Amino acid sequence: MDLKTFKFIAIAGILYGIFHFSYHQISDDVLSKKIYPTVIGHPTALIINTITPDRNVQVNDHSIISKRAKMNIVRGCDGSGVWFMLSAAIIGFGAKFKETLIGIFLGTITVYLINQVRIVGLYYVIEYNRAWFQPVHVYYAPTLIIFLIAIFFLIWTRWVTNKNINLKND
Amino acid sequence: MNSEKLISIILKAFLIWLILSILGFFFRINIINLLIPFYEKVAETSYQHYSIEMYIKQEKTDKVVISATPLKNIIISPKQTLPAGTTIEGSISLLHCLVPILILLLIVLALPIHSFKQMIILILFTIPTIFLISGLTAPLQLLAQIEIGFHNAALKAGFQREEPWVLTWSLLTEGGGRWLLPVLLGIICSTTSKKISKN
Repeated sequence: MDLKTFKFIAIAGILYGIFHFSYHQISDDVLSKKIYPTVIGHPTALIINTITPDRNVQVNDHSIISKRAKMNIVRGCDGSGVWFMLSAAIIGFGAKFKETLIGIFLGTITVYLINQVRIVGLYYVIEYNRAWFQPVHVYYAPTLIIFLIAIFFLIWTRWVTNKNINLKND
Repeated sequence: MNSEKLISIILKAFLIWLILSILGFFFRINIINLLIPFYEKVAETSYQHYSIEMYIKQEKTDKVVISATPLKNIIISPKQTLPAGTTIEGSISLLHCLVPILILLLIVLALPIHSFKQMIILILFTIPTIFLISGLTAPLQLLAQIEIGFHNAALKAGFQREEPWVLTWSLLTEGGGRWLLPVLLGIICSTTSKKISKN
């Protein structure tokens, strides 16, 4: 392993730990009563009610409820783990400040959108066949999300590398 | 890296994910059955004052169950003690245990392999890494389930237990660490095998 890879792994690992520790300073109460309904619950309900207006999905704290299904958003279901991972990797890559900021900004939007799709998808999975919830929730979705985030990281690093090569050539 | 190469890596990674996740799902019981003796070893080494057994419980959702029997009295709170010889159980989703392995293999196989020599070296690195990430996740998470039981029992009695290291570690890995570990270890396996094969 070369020094650059080692530096990347060390920085990403340490930053992930810092992000994780900071996240756990937020109480469950704040997450479930303030952050989750606003950031995840209501947008999810809006999407579901737009796709299928007859569901009349309501949000109650961290719960997304309709006549057909109920789903709770709990700590960790907010995409935080993936966001910490991606942000730590982007910072650890050691690009210029502006490129790092762009990476984190676009990465945050990407993680949020992927997580919203996951949550909406999980709601429909519960509705359609509750037995599929567990495999999708704990197995297929997390691995697919890692795959998608890895693609984002690959595209971002390619953009950063090409930009620097072009600058050198100029 | 040009666009064609990028697209080919993405397609290759997607196919690898699809094949591995389907294989993992269908052979989940066989894979975890192979790992259970190792899980038990890790759990017993970590918690030496317990006799530990693990098994798979096949119901609506398959589970890995830990059955722990303390060899000495366990003080849960100033008012509660778990007598030696009392067996307690905890469980986690079986599919959950496969996720770090799947991510490791996805990273290792999706990153470019330049020669046959590198592939052999990569396999030699990946096999122990599978055990390493399995050992750092599932058995410790199972032990954490036992600790959560103690923690909740103490809380009910009005006491706050000190957070044991296994619970701290479990929270770290469950929060996303169980994804980060295989990603980073996968990168290490890939870059190290590339470097050794070039020398």
